[in-house]
Amino acid sequence: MINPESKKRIAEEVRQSLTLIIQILPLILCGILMSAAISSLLPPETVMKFIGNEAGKKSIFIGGAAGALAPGEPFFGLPIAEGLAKAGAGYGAMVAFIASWALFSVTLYPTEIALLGWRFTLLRSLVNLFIPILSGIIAYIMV
Amino acid sequence: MHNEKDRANAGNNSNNNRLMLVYLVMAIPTIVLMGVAYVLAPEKIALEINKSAFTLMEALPAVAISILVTAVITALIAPQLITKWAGNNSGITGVLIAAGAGALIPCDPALGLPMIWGIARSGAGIGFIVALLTSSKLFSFMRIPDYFTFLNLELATFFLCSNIIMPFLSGLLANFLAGYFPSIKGKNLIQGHS
Repeated sequence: MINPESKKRIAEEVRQSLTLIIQILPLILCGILMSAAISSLLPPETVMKFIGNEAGKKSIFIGGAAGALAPGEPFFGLPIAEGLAKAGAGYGAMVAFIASWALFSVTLYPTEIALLGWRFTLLRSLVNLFIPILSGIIAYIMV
Repeated sequence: MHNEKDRANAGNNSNNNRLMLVYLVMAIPTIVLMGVAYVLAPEKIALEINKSAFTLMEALPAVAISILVTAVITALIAPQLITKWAGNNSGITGVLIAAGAGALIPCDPALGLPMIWGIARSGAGIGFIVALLTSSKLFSFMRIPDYFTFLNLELATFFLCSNIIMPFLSGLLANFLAGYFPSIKGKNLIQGHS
């Protein structure tokens, strides 16, 4: 059986959660609309132009930066990465692109800020900054 | 008594102001992007908004249920248990556990972030939360099949191998920073935002 102390804690948690649900609704809407706008404005072919083979080693950095601009849905970010790989982009750039897309996709930020707060989100982003570049370099060396 | 009420009201006002700022910061790029998309690709944006309506309908119940379930679960778990295995003093072991456990958290922010929010509020340390979130974003059980579905086998394998240690390193880095800046302890950092 649940003791009265736990019941009180559950009631308090549920009350706070309901407030949170109401607070984050506008932010979820923003995220979904931003994703829609970026999907319309950023066709995969345009992205390919910037991280093609001709970019060389710089492509790891360009891939890392471009990944953050791709909408967070797997059906958008990952097909771009595969398309780029097929078009001749290096695996270093692609690994940086995918890591950056998974960690920094702009469309995933509204929910993270809403739930975990902008201070935590900023800290998490800062300590994750090295990941796309380091993993891109590791992949570049491994190939 | 009166002073306590005043303090509570001041705290609520400050939280409301912060929330309004977050709304504003998110609303401005959304409106700008929607405006640019409407001018440059009016047909495409109409199609995307149509798709977004479905996404919204799918996401809202999932967010609400996930937040409520997590709240109840975390209320039932003894805080001492979380403090021991995930708290600021759990050190490298805590970060290592989080780096592995993140794979069990859904990468969909609507489902996974409420869980992480609940764990953070229960007293998990900053290194633990950062490693958990980083791991869920890179290696969530929901994401691994996507890698192998959308990418070729070689690229997916390269990606997973190159990133395997990253959640652990991020967690350690966050713990290291928390050592220098005590104000960035997990629970306070996250609870203080709204």
